[in-house]
Amino acid sequence: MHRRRDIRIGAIEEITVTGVDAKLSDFKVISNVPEAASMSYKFYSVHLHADSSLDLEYRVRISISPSLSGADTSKTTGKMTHGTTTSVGFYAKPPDLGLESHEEHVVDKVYLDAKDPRTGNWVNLRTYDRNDIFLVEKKITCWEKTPHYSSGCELLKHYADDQCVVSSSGVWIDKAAGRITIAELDFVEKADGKDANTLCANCCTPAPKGKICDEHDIPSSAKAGTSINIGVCVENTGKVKADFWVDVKISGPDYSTTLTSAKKSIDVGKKDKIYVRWDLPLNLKSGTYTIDATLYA
Amino acid sequence: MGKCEQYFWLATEDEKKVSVTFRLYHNDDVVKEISTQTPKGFYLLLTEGENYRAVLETSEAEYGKVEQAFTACVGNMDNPLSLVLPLKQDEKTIGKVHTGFCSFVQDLPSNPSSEKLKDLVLAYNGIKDLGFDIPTKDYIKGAVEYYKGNVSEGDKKTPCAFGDS
Repeated sequence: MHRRRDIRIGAIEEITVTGVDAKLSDFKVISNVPEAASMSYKFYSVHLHADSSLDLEYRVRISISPSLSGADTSKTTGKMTHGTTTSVGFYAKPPDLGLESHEEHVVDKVYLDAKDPRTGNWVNLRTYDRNDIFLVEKKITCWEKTPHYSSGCELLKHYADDQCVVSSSGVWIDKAAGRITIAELDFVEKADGKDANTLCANCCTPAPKGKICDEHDIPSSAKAGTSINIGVCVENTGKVKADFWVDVKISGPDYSTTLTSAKKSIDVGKKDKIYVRWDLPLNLKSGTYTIDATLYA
Repeated sequence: MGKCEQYFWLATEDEKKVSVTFRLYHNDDVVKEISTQTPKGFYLLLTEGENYRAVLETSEAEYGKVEQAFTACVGNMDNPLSLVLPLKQDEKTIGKVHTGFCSFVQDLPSNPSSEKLKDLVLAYNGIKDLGFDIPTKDYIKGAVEYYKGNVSEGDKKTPCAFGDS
């Protein structure tokens, strides 16, 4: 039996293979995150530059050391048009970890995968070694010192109005300006729109608040040389029982005087009359005297 | 009587920085006037045992005035006499009181009475005493306008103001 000799049967053309050139850049720690977070906070981002000639779906994975519960570790982009760039952000909403102090975490690996359009399998394109550090900040409590305030209560009071209602509208600006930490911001967010005392009992005392109501007790006429009582209707519109008093200014032809009442305690939501006594001088001229009241609490 | 150090503390209820005027009265005479800004602490040498009145006020509309009578000297550096400007809660005109002539004629527009007009004329001529003066004829003319229901015309001729009440 003869063995056939190797024979070159024809010329084969060389095939040029181009690798997928998608890549990541701008690895960035955006912010620390608070433990026992009330919402998800963006803590890390990268820029993904898609392949210049293929439209592919991408996935970015990060490895966090030590691992962090409640943190994104994988994000997909959906199909990206070739040659475009997108930002991929990672969010975390850590649970209550019972931290004694801030805990350091490191993003040590970042993986870029692409989905093979034929098989649907994810294929790793690149792996980046990183050392991007962020902190999980110890949660704020009502009565312990915070990084910028003497207590969580004081922090809430800073963002509360005179009726102790907290508004978080200014916290993001303060966070961006470095005036508060993310844990402080989160603490205020938890109380947003609420009375500070619902989060920290006995933390805040609402300011007394009242208004002059309409049911006054004023005689329509009076005689010079006599005395009349003028009753000013006052309503407690605040959240606490408070002492109110009024200044009553009486002005008319060539005459003006201001009378100050005694203080009167009025319950929340109640109306009452606060009286001043006007001793009309004997030489008071005929006329119409206007009564103006100013309420204090 | 000797001199003593009277300490004062000037502030506002909401602890804001506000321009204020402090006046110290002795027997209704101003013995000291200071224009300053809150918060402010200072002391004055006063005559021991004398009665004074301290007044703190501001041109800022949201604050009232505070006044405190005392006998010198009260308190000390750690516990000064505190004058805190209160925040106004509300402010409005709450009514009117009519006196003398105006009290007499206030119901003329709603309840015209020629008897009242007659009494006013008699009083103007010094024949009848209504307990108040009618210094000019305009008062009578005004009363007639009220009688006719022309309140604003009556208000123009008299010191009364029934039109906007």
